[in-house]
Amino acid sequence: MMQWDLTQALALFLHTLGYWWVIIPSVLLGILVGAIPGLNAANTIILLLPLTLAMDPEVSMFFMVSLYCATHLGGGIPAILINVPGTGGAAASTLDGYPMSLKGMGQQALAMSFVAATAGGLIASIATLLLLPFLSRIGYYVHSVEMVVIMLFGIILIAAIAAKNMLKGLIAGVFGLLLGSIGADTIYSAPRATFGFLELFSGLPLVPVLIGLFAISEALIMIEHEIVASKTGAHDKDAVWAQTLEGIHMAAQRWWHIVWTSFVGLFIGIIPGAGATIASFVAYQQSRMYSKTPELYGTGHPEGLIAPECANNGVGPGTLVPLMAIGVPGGDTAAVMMIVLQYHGIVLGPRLFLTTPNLAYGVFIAMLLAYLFMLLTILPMTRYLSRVTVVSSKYLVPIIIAFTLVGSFAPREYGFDMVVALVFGILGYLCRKTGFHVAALLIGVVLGPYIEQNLMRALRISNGDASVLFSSTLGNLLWAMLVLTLLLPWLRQWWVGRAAAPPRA
Amino acid sequence: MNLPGNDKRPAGGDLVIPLLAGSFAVYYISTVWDLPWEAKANGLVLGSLLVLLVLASVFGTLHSLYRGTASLSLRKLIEPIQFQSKRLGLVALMIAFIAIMPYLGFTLTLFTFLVLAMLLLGVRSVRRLLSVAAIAALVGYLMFIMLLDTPFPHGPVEALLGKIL
Repeated sequence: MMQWDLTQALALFLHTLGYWWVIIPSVLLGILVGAIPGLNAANTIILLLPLTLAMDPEVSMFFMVSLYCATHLGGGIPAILINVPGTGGAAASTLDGYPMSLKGMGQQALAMSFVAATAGGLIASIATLLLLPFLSRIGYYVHSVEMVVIMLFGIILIAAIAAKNMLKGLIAGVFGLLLGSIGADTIYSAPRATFGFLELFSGLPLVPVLIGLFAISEALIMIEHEIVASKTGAHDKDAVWAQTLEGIHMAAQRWWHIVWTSFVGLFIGIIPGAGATIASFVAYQQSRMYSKTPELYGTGHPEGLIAPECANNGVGPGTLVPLMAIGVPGGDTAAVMMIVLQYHGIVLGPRLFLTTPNLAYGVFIAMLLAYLFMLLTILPMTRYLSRVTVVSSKYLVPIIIAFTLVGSFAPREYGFDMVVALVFGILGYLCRKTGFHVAALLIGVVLGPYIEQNLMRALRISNGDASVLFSSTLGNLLWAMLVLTLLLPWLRQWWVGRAAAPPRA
Repeated sequence: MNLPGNDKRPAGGDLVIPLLAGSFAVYYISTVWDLPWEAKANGLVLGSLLVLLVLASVFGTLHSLYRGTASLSLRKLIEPIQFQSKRLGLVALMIAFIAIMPYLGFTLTLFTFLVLAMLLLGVRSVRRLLSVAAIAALVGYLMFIMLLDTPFPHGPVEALLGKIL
């Protein structure tokens, strides 16, 4: 693999900078697409496939990665302002971002999240470029057994995050996993729990589930308030530039938090299949676990917004590492990119860095440039975006419902998917009202098919011997961390209780 | 410890999701019971785990009921009660939106839904009702039909706009 040399790096940087005319419009389109629930980088690239396939391979790749990065940032906007994540990776941003909006700090929250997101993306892009020769090897060590543990880890983490009541978090998470296992099995194609609907044979469609759980259920709650920010009486009616600057300052004060949570995103991004949703929740949980004030998380705590935003954007460069280095797509968008590159006759893998360094390294430089452009274009918009929270819910609720319902139709073009969104909207409403965290349910649905795939792969390799799940060192280490995460909240509570108890006479 | 009625934790609502989850787990297991092990292993493991968690939750609630610290009230789920009619109205409108779209077409259904939903939520100015709904429906048409070419059902508005634009 190519070693870094400063002159060559500068030449590559300038070469990629020459494609600014592709990167800037892609960034703007990506922010818009990310902010609309139901649209994401993968389905937008698919919709624009005729255009993408007609482009030169470098142009199409720079277009796709810039769009991909920008959707990660855009997804946080509705998550913070109206508790509706634009993409799955932004779901964790609702936990503290939305409470900040309710406190009348929507503009600060947006500015802070933009700085965190772009810094997260920049740090991860630079780190990827520097570490690429080593990072590309990580994918080799993660097999189906490790994947099963990582995914279970994801569920436990979200249960712990959701957990004011951990049992409720676990019920929601496992319920989600079982819902995610709806559909025909991959070996015998036998339908399981499809309620007789052909549309469910390929599993629950994720976009309608996301829309239902977050957008529709939130809209059904939102009607109880005149405006979004009125829950606490505070709002952003008098938004001024000073609030944007305050948000930037709040992010800058937490620079170390930004750095380490970006690396959490980067490393999780490298694991094929893990993706932005898991990364952002893991970063949130790790941030809360090591915080001196964990009780503030969920109430509009700045660190609780910075962590998932950094990880959500740190994932981007990580996801492309296995794609470019070993030809294994790390997620759905990477899979679409792979199809486009294969159409152009480009063979992915280690040789790509030797044969076409302009493309192989250029992709990561394009990401870096996309994040720089994003920071410049989005920050001036925070003042106006935050005004969404003062739009009357009489107008906002019907518009959210109508546009997200039609958004649920867009990916598969089935009218049935709008029904799925409505059903999950009602389920999400019941969850919200009774303290079952919808994010835990969503993560379960997302991970359900993957956990089954990997579990089956591991069991088939071992001829059905379940002890295979404890057969690898890395896997066992992850199991130990999982058990520790499960026990840590109780141990911590016990320790605090013991310290607070009056000494015995 | 027996608390007076109003001080008791309303635990009825807390049982709704566990009961739904438990019922779904039983249904899932019933659909995979006769399948080969590869097709049912995952479902059996997750379904059994879910049933155990649900039983733990139900047991916890029953324990609170026995101690007199909780009641089976659904207060948590339905309060504040004055919004329930609007909420049910919105759900009915969503069902109508999905059902009627194949007949009226995307744009007209979107416009009608927005007008009725805003009316239900308390917008009384006819000018605002019509203008907000018309602008939103036009944006929807431009984005989904014109730009993204999503195959939503076409109706009279699409036919007319298709000729004009």
